[in-house]
Amino acid sequence: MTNNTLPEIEETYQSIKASFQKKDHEQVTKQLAEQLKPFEQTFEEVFLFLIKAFSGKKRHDNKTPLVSHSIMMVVLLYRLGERDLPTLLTAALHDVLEDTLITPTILLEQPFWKKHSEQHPELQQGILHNLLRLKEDTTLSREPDGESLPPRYQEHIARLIGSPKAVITTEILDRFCDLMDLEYILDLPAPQRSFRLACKLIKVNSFVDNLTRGREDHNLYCLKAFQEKVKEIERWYHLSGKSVIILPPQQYYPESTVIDTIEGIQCKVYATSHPPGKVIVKPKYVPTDLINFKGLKRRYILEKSMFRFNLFNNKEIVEHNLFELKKKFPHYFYDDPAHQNWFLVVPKENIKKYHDPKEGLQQLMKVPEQDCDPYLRATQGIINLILQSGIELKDIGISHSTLLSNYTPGKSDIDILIFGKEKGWKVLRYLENAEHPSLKWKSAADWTKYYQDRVVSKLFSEQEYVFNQARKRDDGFFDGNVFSIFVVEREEEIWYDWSDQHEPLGTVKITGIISDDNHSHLRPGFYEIDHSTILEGSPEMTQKQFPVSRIVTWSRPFVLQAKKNEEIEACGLLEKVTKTDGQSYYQIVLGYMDTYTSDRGEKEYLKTIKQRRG
Amino acid sequence: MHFYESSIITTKDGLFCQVYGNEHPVSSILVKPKYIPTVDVESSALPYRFISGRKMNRLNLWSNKEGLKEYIEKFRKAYPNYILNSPYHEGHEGNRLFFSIPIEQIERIYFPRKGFQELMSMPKDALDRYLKKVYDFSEIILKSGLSKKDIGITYSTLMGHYDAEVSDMNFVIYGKENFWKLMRFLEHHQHERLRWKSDEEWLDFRKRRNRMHIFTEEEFLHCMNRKKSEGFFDDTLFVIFAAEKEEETWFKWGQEKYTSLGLVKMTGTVKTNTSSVVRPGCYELGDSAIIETFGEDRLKDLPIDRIVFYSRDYCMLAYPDETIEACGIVEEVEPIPEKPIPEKASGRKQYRLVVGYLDAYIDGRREKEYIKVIKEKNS
Repeated sequence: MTNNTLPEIEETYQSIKASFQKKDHEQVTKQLAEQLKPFEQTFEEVFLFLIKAFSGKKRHDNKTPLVSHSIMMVVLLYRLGERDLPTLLTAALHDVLEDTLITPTILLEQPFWKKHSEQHPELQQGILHNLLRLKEDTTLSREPDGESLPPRYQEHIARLIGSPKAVITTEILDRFCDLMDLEYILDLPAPQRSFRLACKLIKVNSFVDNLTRGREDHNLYCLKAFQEKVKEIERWYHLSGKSVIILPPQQYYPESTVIDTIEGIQCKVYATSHPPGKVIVKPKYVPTDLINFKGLKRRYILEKSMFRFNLFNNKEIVEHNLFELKKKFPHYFYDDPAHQNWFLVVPKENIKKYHDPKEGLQQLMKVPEQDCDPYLRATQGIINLILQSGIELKDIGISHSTLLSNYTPGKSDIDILIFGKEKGWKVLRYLENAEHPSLKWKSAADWTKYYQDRVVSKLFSEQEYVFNQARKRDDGFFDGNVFSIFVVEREEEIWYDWSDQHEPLGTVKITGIISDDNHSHLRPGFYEIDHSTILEGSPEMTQKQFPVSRIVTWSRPFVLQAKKNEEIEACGLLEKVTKTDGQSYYQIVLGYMDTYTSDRGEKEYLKTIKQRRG
Repeated sequence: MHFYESSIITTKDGLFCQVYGNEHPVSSILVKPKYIPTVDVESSALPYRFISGRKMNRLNLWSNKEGLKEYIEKFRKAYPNYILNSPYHEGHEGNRLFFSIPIEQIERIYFPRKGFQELMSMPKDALDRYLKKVYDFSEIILKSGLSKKDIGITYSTLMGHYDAEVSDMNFVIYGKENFWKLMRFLEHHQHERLRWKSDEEWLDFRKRRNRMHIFTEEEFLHCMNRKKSEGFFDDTLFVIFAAEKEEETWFKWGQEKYTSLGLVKMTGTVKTNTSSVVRPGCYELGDSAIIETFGEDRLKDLPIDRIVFYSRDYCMLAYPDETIEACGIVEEVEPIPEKPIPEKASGRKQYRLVVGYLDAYIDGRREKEYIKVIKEKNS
């Protein structure tokens, strides 16, 4: 880029704007598209689509067609050296979902995608994902006060941080364009003009500074043009446009908490450690107007008809539903190369709300007992009992329907989170011996019903299952309400490392002795084992007898399943795990998400076959 | 600006509000806060609820008056932007109290009509006992000839934080004509699961509203038993509200100015009660006479054209040609010159009596204000 680039870009901008004001739009766009080699055909079609979509709408000056901005963005980017098709398409389409009647479905049906579908099979979904990120939350205010950043922009920046380069480059150029059309501000009397310009500079600088912080993969020429334009305005109008620092999105999403996504899906967080930029989840409630699932129960929650998403179901139904979910929301699926497996996730920028379990409980415990219904009174009761274990209220949270107030008294569980591994053990040990008139534990019959309701394992007899579960003290009844205790790691205690490499080797059945059960109350949790023997598996596995040192479980039924020094038998996926320092070990894993649709799901189990002595 | 009554608004700072009336200023929506987080303002004089992870106070206007007054004062300080200083209401007793939520403070709007459509699209066997009941009663409403788009559900039924054992079912009917049509239907409809409030239940309500000194038992029961907007379906109370369509509203916010002149007691004959089903509602009057001025003799000859009420308790209380007695604030009504209302341009000053402004609940008028029928059409 030379020192003359800003004037050249500005000249191009004004010239295109004038053309759109005076000439036939289709003719102008055809000429512009011809310059965009090798994508001229694609953009000729895209521009015609945009002209139709914007249907002659004008900007505030009432003479410039609104569509000119989208087309201009592509041409300017191209002049700034951008040749990345996703970036150019994102720029072209960035306003189409926000300012026109085009819906994602209509957009995805457009013929211009076809010629790229072979080379870029994920192009359509990728661009759509970008466009959804670029949509502002119009329910939030953008009214400026001259000092801070309006809530709409704060929310948008927080959601955009960490986005793909196509989004970042589009956003920089969009903010550059903000500074190119200032007539409506410059015509104001001096005091208002200064105020509005200051607000504009805060806005554009906040976007660009926050989005480009710590990265350089976006179009640097575009960034330079933006920065020069800002300096020019600051110089001319004696202003200084400070940006507002927006903190990156929340990093700690503990297991068993609840998040709402921007698509309106309520998800249960399913791990405490997550791959970069994503949160491992299981969708819980999905609006019925979003996806046509089958075989799922429906619930009416918060003015919406929702599917209660459930993976404990007939395999064909689960396959169908996962297929539908993937078709509609591909970004909810994460194919992790390090695991050679897939996980259900929510990209962090798609999180609309995190329901804070600790804050919720603090609030609940302040409500006078007489103002609580029997369910909430029972919740307060079990919490008061847990507090007698010696942990503090700040170490506890509530989740799911208890927190969100969509519980059904007499039916809904009371879901309690204990933060901290040691605190968790303290509570579980305390409850083993606690006596309280309202406290009861699940009986053999209760566990039998649970076993029958879930596809736990066909190789796991009902009797064995009931024995293994009945000695646990994380699920019980308080005043007739089922309560469940979930122990979650504090941020500094997280054990799962997403940078480990997992090599799946096949399904095996093993025996071994539990040498450490300290992490067996978590999800995912693990048991360290000694003296492993591979009983069944491929001939290579039984012959080589890989030493299995760990059993990892992602499935709640296998939490607290065995105790130290007990002999266990387990069936699961054998993996070779290689750490970043090169060290490796073997583990078997139970309850990866693929087990809901694979034969392995029906084979997996973990059971104590010999209790420890004494 | 028109915005439907009984929709629910949640604010960015966690208040749950019910939309109050169908006419609103341009930049904010008039509401009655229903549940207010206790983080910034709290009162043990009000009941508490735990909703969506928050300890809330339920704003009950019939709570202990001193406690309520103190709470409202604290609320004004904690949420000054939720108090509307109306330029159209000049209060003899100080500023009129209106709660309003600026548009930019709205987190989410729950639309009763949308909620109803979603509920009715559910397979019935997927609903819990309470929602099945709502569904079944909705089918009765639909038999009146109303269509699904004319109906909404609101409050806890809509939000989903109902308690199946104690929560009411709350319905909204869109359009005054539709509402009257439903009332006429329910008046004659027989259903084994439907019953109206018993005398005992109405008298309990009279006691809770502290209306004993205003209505005799007989007067109260007579008026209330005519209402078909409240009753029981199985053991659950249902309440049906009306919301005015945009073309039906009986006043437009900002087209009139109201100047309070003082408290009076009056009588008058009801000309029409079409708008007595909404909030704010009104009875158009003829032959009005002020019978008590509480020392303000200058008010004694004012002709009152209309009784306006902000409390649902006065909905459908009186019918055309009945004589009613009311106590409330008399206001001079002045069309705003830039936007004259043609039919009001008669030259004579207009006066109205208002019962149940929100500030009445904290300044001693709560027990004084009322509307009651004193003479029926044929008696």
